[in-house]
Amino acid sequence: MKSYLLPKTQLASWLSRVQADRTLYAPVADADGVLDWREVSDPAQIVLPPGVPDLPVKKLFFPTSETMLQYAYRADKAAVVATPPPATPFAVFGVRPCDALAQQVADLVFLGDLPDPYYQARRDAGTIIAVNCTEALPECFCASLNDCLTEAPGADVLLTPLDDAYLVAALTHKGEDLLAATAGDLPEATEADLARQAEVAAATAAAQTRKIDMEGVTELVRAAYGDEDFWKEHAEACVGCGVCTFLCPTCTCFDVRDDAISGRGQRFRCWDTCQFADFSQEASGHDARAHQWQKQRNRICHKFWYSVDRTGVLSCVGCGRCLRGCASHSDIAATIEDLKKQPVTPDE
Amino acid sequence: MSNPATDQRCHPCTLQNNPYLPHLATLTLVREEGPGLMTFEAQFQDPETAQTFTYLPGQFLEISVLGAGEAPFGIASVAGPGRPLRFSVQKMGLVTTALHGLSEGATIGIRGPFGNGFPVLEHKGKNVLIIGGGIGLPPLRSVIEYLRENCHDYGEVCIIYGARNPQMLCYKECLLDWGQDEAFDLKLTVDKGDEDWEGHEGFVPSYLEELNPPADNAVAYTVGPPIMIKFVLQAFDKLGWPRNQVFASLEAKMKCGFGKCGRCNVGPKLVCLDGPVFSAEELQGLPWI
Repeated sequence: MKSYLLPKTQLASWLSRVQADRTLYAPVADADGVLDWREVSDPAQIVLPPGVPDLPVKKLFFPTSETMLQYAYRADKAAVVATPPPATPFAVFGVRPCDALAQQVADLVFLGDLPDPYYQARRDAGTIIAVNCTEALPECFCASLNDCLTEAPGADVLLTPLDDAYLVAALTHKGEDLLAATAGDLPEATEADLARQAEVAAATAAAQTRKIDMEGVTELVRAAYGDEDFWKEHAEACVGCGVCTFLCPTCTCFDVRDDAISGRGQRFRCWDTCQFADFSQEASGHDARAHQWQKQRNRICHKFWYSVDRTGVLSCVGCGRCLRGCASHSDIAATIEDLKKQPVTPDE
Repeated sequence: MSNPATDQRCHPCTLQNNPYLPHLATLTLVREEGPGLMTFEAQFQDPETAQTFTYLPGQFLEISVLGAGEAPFGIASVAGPGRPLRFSVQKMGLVTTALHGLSEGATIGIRGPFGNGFPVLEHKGKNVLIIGGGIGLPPLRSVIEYLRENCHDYGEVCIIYGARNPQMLCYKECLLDWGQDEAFDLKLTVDKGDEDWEGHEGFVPSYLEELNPPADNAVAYTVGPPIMIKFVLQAFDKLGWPRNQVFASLEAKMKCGFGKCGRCNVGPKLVCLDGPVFSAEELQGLPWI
């Protein structure tokens, strides 16, 4: 697939070409300075922070809340229609490789044998333009988990900063189509440029101070499942706010609810979290994960074990948002490190 | 309200087989079954769906009350073209309370069937032991009636059913019917009887141990409260039944019914996709209770 060299001074004009046929989203600072994914009218609004933006990009494919059905009803009669998801083409610029990979992880849940039509529509309509990292935040640990810095799986186009230009590479057919339409007279990248991409990725990986040996992590978590004391100790300070899961780029659990008045209404879904008290509590009151330590155990086991069993991949990409956002300083990477020090206990 | 058929922005996926879109159905029977328990029968409004909708014993439905929400319920009937779907509902939360407020003729939404169901097709030729507790009987009725309709394919069928007290034994008409049918050996028990109760007293798992059914060429299907299932599985262990001959249907809070919403996981298993029926062998080591 073709790669180009985009001088940094021409980034805005290239993004304007990208924007000509599609809506452009990118990290933009909100009133509180939080970097959120917003529609961009002027590329000058875009803020590319070191590391990941504050919020994960998943909301563009899986909105915090979305209407699924609309209906009208009376005692003996009803009509229900599915609300069509928007299929307006869009591109999202500034996605870090870990977030792009996370979207691929979410695909394994939402697509597959019985695809979720709302997610699928947004996924089909969206093109992910990733920008490789050149700096590592103290919380970053993707290099311990995956090859997102070098391969950027999940991205359609990858930009790698090289001195005064970006190496712009198409990674998928969708990315190729976007570049065919927007590259204009950009020069094609040389072999030397391509070689430098790997150097940048390696330097960023080396800059990550948080390094964890993840060898055998699934077996480690599985073996520690029954060690209640370990999980209690590690969840002792958890207040159950769920921010770890809302900030997680791969967490996709949702609630479905109805909202109706005077015989008209909608069924909508919204983000939910396994950390909330009523998440798995049945109407009878029975809850197999009633305690907060069981909820935290579920989260960690899901990232490193359940997800591997179900989809073949870890559902932690090492973005570090959960530990940056946690009010009680819970640290998923440190938990794995601590697990290695535990004596192995038999299953419950 | 927007019309998807004419909406230009509409994605084709939503028009064909949107798995979240319920089929509309009319309640043809609404009957009080016991304390806080109602039985419903429903017919699909679309004649083609009514003819083609099929399911296995032990599968479940997502039932909608528009304006209130949606919840999963086990199917109590046996599949057949044009036959009504039956399910029973204990009044517990928002959706179940709304269902209890409906009358015959009301419209509900139905999605499904979901889940794996009991492996009745794999178990042809076996003796079948059915073990129910409380409101676990309605989903087992789908198995029992299936076994009656296909009795030549199966060996002896024994039903052990119990509830807290005689009032809480549900599906009393069915119990009378099954008790009189030579195809079934029906054993009833209550935790505590009243002055009219002449039958067995005691918990279902201990009654199972007393009865000591042989494991040879047999399989067991159980539905009931989690605590009962836990002790039923332990009883089978004591009786020496191999764990791959014992099957339990689990309940879990669910939203989507097909593996997307994420809340019904029991360890790495999803109750909606991998269950609700699991063998005792599969449940070993799973955090299901």
